[in-house]
Amino acid sequence: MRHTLLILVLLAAPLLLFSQPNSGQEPDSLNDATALRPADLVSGKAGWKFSSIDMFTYNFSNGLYGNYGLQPTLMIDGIPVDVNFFGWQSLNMLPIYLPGVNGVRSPSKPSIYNHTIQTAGVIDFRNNPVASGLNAGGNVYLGNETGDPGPWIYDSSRVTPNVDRWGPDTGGLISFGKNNWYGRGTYVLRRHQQTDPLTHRRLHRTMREFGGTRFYPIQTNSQSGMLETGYITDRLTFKARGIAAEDRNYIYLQPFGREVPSEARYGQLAFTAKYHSEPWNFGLRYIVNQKRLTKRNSDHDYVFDWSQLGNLVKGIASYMKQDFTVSGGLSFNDMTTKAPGILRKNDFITGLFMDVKLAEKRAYSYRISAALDIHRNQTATSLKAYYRHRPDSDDWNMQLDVSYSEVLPIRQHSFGYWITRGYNFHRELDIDLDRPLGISKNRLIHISLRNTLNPTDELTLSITSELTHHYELNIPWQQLSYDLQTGSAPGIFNITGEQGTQFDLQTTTTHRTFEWLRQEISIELRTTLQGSSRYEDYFRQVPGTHIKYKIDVAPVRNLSLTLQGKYRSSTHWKEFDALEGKEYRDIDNLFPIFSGTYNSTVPPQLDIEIGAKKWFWEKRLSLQFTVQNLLNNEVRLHPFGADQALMFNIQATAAL
Amino acid sequence: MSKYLIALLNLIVLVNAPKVSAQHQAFETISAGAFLGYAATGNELLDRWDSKPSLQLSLQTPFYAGHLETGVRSTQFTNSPGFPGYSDFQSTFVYLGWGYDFALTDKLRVGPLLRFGNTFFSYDEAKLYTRPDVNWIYNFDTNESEFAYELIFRSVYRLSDNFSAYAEFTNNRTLTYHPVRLNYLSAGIIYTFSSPGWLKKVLE
Repeated sequence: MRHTLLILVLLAAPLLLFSQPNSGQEPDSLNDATALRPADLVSGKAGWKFSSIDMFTYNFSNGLYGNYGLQPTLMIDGIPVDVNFFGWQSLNMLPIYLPGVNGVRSPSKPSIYNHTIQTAGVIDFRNNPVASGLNAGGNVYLGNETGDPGPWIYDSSRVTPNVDRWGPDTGGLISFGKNNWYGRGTYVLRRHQQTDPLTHRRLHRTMREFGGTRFYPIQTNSQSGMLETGYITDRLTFKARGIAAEDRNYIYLQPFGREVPSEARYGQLAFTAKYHSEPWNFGLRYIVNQKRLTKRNSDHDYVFDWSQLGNLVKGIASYMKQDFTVSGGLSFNDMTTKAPGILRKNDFITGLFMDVKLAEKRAYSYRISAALDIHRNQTATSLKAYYRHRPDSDDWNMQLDVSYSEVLPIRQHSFGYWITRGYNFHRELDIDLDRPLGISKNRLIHISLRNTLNPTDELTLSITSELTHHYELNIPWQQLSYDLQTGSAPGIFNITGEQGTQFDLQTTTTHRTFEWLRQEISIELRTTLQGSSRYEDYFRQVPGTHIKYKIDVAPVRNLSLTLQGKYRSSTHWKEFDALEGKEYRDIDNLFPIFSGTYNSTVPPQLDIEIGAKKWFWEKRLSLQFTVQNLLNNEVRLHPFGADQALMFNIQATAAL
Repeated sequence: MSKYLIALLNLIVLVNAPKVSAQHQAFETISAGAFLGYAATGNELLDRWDSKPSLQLSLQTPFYAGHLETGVRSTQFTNSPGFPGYSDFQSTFVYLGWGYDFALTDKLRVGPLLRFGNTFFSYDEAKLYTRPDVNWIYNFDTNESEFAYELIFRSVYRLSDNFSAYAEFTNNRTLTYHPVRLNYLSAGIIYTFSSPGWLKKVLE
């Protein structure tokens, strides 16, 4: 019976699909009728791995640095947004108004992006260009997970707790464009209420442990806004924007092995200018980032205060001639970090960048890039080179990439690094350290070979094989012990530099079956070839197999349908081995039938989603419905995480 | 039973799809209907509560293959004798549906539908659980909602150009932790008229 919905939809779908001529719509990533929050635009894309504890904040990685390592760079319209707090970064903090997003560029492999070598990948949300005149819009989203108690609340033998609520999220956009000028403002509010017995009990107990004396609703609220103005001509582009964001959350602090109730604040002022005069391109960027992390509730008795003010100036010059381009860049990043115990607050990082592209318009092209980061007495060198073969026939191309990357400890955003700088919050959490913490530069070499075939205009097939060798990878480790009340208690925390080698094979096939139907399947297999036992254990947290399938259909005008399936193999989290087989119950055993067992292995899972989006009134209004976890399987992304059941979502959008 | 019903419905859909798709022009007409129904059978919910007759209002419009509909059905449940601590409650199902029908005769059509939406429960009395030993209180809200879907088999008899009589069998499932399963029998009248130009433009 639980499959009835799926069966009916699948059997009935062909009727709807084939009964009508095409709609003329161009399916792209944002005809995705299952996307409701920023993370939904990334999780279905090939190459990205993710985990989540609350199913609200997702941790994305390209696999090279594992779950606790270097995070992908987040951007909005090509300008970086730094909401990374000790490796925890929430896409919900970004002022992304989804109906106003044109697409997301998310190269997961090491790449050169905006004159920077990005080894951990990039997630860049691109807004629609501002149209002339005054435009405004707003949306509201609500998700409802199945499994609420219903009328059985009156039956004490059957009563169960209320389950998670997603939203209501709201957002809005207002923009104005005239001649070469534009202005834009966005605001989004995202909310989530956790009631999963596993996380709910732990968070309550943790807050009591931190001195809480009252009942705190377990809610996450994230809100952000952005104001932007710009001037665009053929030669000159100028942009200025400001971002303010606040996230009242429960940051999972890996050295603690649990969440810490927290309030993260972020502010940005950014100015960019680009000038083009054949054969020269010049770019100048100035960004101020302010990050602040504090305790969430004033009556709690811990001091989490950590703040950082960063000033970044970056200049780029490029010279283009016929079929070669030479670029050079220089950046200065001044940071002031304040937190209990940190004595030396100021850091200054100087960056150099050189890039040469040769024979760009020929069948054989080359690119060589080099970057240097200098911080105090440390330097980090990154080199990247590729050779691309793209014959005239257009039905095949090949690219060989070789990257060598070093990442400075201060760039790794790890909690452990700030401990080495004096930050003493770990003492309040009773985390013992295995000193010295072995933090050094992350060093790796990455080789990838990609073949892309276009046997027909409609079919694209790419096969990528990657070999990564870590000369040194900082792996933070917390072997937790079991605690009856809170689930886990921190043991001795250490960081060690480990060596090892990974191999990754990925195939992606895209088929535009009809003008109105596009499907994509990606299969990714990853394995550790060799490495220390810590290295092998660390990468067991990342699924070895990912299979993602997605079909976007626009069968009639103003209607999009999406079906998406994501399979991931099991993961094992050795840090949680002490909890294996231990039982957890709801808080204070109120609900007699609600309990579970900790498992340090997250089982393999298949998550199927369907979505339908219908526009009305010449696209001024839209209504979107999605059903997630259609099979009602256990979908859990972390051994300490919530288990998501079948879920129904609705989103309404209006634009003027 | 649901499995057989689904198989039957899909067989009907597959066999009749070509006919159906040619029948309708999207959003050409609007049909407004009112139904009276009764939850005749169901799972153990009906051991503890008695169902009163339900009232259902719906709007329908042709939508390429088949038709779309939206509506609301409200049903009052009162606690059965023997369960005095169980609060009376109102169940309101707000839905979107998609279905299609085919003609058996000039006047009689039958067809399956799928509806999905939310069931809103509104309880007359809040339920409070206490644990004096740990100084703990859990007070459930008097309002709650849950995802629900239903499969319908409907027959339509055309009375005139504008009026039709409807009869439905509905298998409703609300996905609470212990699911609520109810089977409704209902009948009603529906009035059909041409869509105003502005409304058709909005819907398209």
